[in-house]
Amino acid sequence: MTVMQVLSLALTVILAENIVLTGSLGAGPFLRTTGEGRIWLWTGLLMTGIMTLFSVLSWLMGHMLLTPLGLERLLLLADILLLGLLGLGMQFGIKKLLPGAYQVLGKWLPLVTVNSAVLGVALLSGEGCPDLRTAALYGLFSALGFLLVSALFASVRERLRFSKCPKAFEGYPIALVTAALLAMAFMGFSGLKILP
Amino acid sequence: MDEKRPEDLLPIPEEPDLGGGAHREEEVWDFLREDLPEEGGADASRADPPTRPEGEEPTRQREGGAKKGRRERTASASDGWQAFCSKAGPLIKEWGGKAWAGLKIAGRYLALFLAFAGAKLWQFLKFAGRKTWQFLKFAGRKSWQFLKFAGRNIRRFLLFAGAKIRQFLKFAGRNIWRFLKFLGRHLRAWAIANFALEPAKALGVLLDGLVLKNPALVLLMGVCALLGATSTLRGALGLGLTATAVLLCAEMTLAFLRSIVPERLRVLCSLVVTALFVTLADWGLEVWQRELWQQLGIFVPLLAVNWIILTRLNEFSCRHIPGYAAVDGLGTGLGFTLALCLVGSIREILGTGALWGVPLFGGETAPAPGFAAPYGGFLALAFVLAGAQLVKNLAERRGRA
Repeated sequence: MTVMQVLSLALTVILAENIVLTGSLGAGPFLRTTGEGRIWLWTGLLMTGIMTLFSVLSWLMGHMLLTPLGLERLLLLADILLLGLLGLGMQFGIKKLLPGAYQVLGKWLPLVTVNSAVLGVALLSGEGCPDLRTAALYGLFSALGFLLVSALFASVRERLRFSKCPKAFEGYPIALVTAALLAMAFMGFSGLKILP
Repeated sequence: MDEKRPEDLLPIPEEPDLGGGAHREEEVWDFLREDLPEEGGADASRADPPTRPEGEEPTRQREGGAKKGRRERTASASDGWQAFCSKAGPLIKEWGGKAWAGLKIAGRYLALFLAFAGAKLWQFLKFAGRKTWQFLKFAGRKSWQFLKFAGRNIRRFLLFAGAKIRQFLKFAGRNIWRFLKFLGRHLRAWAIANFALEPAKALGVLLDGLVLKNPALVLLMGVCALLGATSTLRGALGLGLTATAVLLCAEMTLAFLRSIVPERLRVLCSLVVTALFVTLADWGLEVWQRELWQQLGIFVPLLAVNWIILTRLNEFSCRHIPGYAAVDGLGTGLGFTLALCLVGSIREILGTGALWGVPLFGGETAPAPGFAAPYGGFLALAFVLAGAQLVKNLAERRGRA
């Protein structure tokens, strides 16, 4: 894989086909990120690690274990089992290693592991990526896209805290409208390509 | 045994001029053959005088001593008879004596043997008869005994068996009835323990799920499905009903397992149970609703990490009986379906100008094509949530007033 190919994949996955804004994956943690205590940063970084790791593990499990055994149809079950174990391990590890992050994330911690972005990217990379390196890069760039978008979104929400809006739109509705505007902006990147 | 041989018993006269028995025999036959034509007289083929003497010539000359008798024989029948007698007499005597001696010896042996055999046979017959008679007597006595015994005992056995069967039937009847009552009581107890619902509470749970704590509209969960699978009403309704079915099954399963699953494995367990039912639902959709399955794509498997389902499993199923879990699953699932359908119909109407594939504004006109794009999901959901908040605020104001 050449540098240009990696760059092309990065541009496509981060900007043109952002998993949150165009694929609607991981919208749950995305909408819950706020600027308070840098939740967005912790969420984004943890999800970067988990998505990369999980898409690698899922790709390996799907292509090395289940396909030779003829059990492709049980991929979802195996993925979920793996994800649950990963989530338990990560919860334990963060409690021990990063008590600060554990306190900030609090009850949203399970949401960081078990969400549609992690599983969706793993399923998509398992289907679409021909080799392990592509799968790992796909997971990494998807997570970076998520990090980028949630950084933008968190900053916008910081501004929103000090602005007035109709009472019915307070809270999540206005955040969703903001997210819609962000998505509309990202539509400008659609079709972005380096390599033909 | 007698050591004497038949030759010793009977002295055989010596015959000096003849070599062996074969010659003598031949002569006897010669005589017989030559006599026949004279006595019959009518045989034409045999009566051929000139050829016969010539053919006989060598034998006659060789015999020598018997020549005279042979020539005289042709003269008359009595001559022939005398010659025959003089010639055959010694032979007959000799042979007869031998045969007689043999017969006597054989007879003696035969008599001895017969006597012996007869005695033995008689002995055997006597013995066999006695034994047969004994056996018959014995067998008769025994069979008679057996029949007497069997008759007596078959009757006893039948009486005994009848009594036992009657006893068993009485016992079984009583106990089957008791067993059925027991089973019924326990089934009823089990049903009451697991499915007895107070109507008011059940209605409360249902309303909570459907409206008051609607997981999508009030708590904003399952956003991924709300955004991704709602570009058409058909897809939204299909996903909502699938989610309802999965939620119902998973909640009931986990409510049955709630006493077994330890606290710290609860999340993992609910994840696995959800994944199991989502996998089944995925296969079911692929088989029976292939078009819908293709349209929904990745969003059906993603139900396995839907936080509406996981939250209800973790917070509700683990503390309630399966009956309430089922009601909650139905209510929450239908509430989610309601939200999905609202967003889906808004997006379909505004984005494509149709509802359930039926054009509303005539032709291809779409009021706001952007609602079909991914960002339209965010917008539509924002308006639906705003509407829900508006209703909630109005209701609160009316309650306060």
